[in-house]
Amino acid sequence: MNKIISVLALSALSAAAQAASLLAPGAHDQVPAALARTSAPGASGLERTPVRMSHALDASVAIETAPKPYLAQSREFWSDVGESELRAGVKFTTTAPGALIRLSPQGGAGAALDPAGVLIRGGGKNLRADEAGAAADTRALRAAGMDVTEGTLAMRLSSAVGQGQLEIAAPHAQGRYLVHVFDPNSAVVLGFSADHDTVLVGSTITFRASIDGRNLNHASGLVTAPDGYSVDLKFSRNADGSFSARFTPDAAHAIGPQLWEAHVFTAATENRLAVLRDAKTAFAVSAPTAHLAGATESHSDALGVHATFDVEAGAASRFQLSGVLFGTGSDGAMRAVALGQSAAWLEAGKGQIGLSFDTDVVAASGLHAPFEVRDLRLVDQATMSLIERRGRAIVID
Amino acid sequence: MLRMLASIFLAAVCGSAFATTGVALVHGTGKQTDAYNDYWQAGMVNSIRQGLPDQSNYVVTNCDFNQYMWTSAAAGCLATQLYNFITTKHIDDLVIITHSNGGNVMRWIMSNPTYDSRYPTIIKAIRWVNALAPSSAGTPLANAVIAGNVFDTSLGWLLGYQSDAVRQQQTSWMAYYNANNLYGTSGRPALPKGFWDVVGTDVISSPFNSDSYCGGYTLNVGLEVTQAWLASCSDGFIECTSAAAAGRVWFYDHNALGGKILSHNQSRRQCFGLDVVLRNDL
Repeated sequence: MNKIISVLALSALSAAAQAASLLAPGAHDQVPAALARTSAPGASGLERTPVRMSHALDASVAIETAPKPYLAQSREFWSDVGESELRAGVKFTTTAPGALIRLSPQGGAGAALDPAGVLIRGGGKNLRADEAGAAADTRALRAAGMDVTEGTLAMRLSSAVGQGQLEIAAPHAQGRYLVHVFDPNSAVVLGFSADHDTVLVGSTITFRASIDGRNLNHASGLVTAPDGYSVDLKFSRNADGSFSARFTPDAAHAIGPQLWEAHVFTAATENRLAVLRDAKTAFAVSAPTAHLAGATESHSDALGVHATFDVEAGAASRFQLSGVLFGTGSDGAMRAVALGQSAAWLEAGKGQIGLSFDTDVVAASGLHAPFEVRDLRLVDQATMSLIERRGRAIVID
Repeated sequence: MLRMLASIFLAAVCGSAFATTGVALVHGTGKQTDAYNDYWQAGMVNSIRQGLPDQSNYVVTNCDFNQYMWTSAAAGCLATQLYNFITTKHIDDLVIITHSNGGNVMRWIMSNPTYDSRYPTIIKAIRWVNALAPSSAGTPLANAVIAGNVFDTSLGWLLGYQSDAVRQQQTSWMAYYNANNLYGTSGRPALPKGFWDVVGTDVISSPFNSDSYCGGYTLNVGLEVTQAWLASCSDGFIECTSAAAAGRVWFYDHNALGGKILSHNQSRRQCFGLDVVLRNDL
């Protein structure tokens, strides 16, 4: 019965095209302020055949139309030490039993350490690594899928080793080593996130580091780009004890879809001992090679519901639009009907890309007008980077 | 139950009695040139394809999944092999079996049908994807081995020792791709076809337990240590939450394999009747 009503409702939609403007941007929308005029490397090799698809969505499953940045959580840190330090002993703090320690030599297999030659000291004990817990060498770790560097030794300390200030020493260390300490059972957890997951060239992204219930003593960090470029972040303390840093990327290093990373290195205090925590998060930098020009047109016919969007390209490329068609239920609530995707090659200048949602899919949903296109996203397929996104794009009456 | 309903629905809609069914096996991270022998092993492949009406309608793909999932060596290569298989054998009812990172490459194709005009043909032919231990939300083990590289400026962290595929499977990276380039995770539109997860929940590496030896004992020894980097529910490489992050859970190992559990390496091997479950699904 619902299906019959929906078919009737769909056929009642105006077959004549409705011209409209995009809805005003919402607080979480990403809208380019200016266009980039240079095509991304690789654009010329992209597919030229236009492709348009849609598929039904389960109306009972909620779709998030606002970005939700990733929150990195860390109970670990990394330290780069020389052979003299490691031979004498490197002190570190754990806040719970069962820590994992990984030693990765820069010198490769020749600098690999035997568990029997690594000492763990703490709580008045002086244990060989093979007495302090389970150990795995490079071969075992790689067989498990952990792509560690040659010569790596990992050990999981038994609860008998205890916690607090511990020391690791390797009298036969040669060259430099990366010491990675993971405190999996610790309550001291560093949280690190960005205020959004994609930033347009020339815009600013803000990072925040905090530990619940504790003040951070210190935070430093850096940003790394996919091409190897890196720059220090300047963190400043906030009133709530957290630290923040701001960063504005430039176009020279935006080569998506590889991601940029922000790293933070912090210290807090636990029982008067310094507890180190490092974390990182990933974000994308997009060059705005196109934008939605504002005008839209929608109509329905025997094939379904269609919405066409004006797109202005600053540089030639293949651009994709995707959007979720929402329809109105008998209770008046809006629910997802279908996902539409469409891509076409556009030369620099004004063009159009349209989304279509099949009649059968719309009718089967049991939802009716007014419809809305939500979660509208414009992507440059040369970099697969997100250029523009709108939580709510248009209403189709 | 959902899986059973999906089967009934597809049988009714597709009229499977007239369909040409095929199966494709898609490996995980690594560059494969003989995945039949090296990754899956003959016993696994030959057992699964017994479920086909025509046992020659199978393909074991070989691509370079050390590369990022969107590259021509990864998704491009996979699309070429699937497309050729579908068109040559006239397959219109394709079951795809992926392992680990192979699930991400397959999701890339299913999520980005407009990127390549062959993708819609592939998607249309798919009945569903059975994703064995997919790293849909990444793995903390990738974080662990990549993060240290930022210190290693003397060797150049960018050049790195790790493959791009490992970099991509860091949890923060997969969170980004899931939110922007891939479908099927919570809060995102569903994939155009079913993506059914098989989730391994633990690792047994005791030399006194025969279960440790299926798939190779030495492979499980390392998993016992790497598991300590992960949440309590993991297969030694992928946390259960990651394996269940995209699509829908088909089954947790012990629920379908008589109480047996699958480590990450065992979920691509002929262990504890997994091959029979996959065969019966065709």
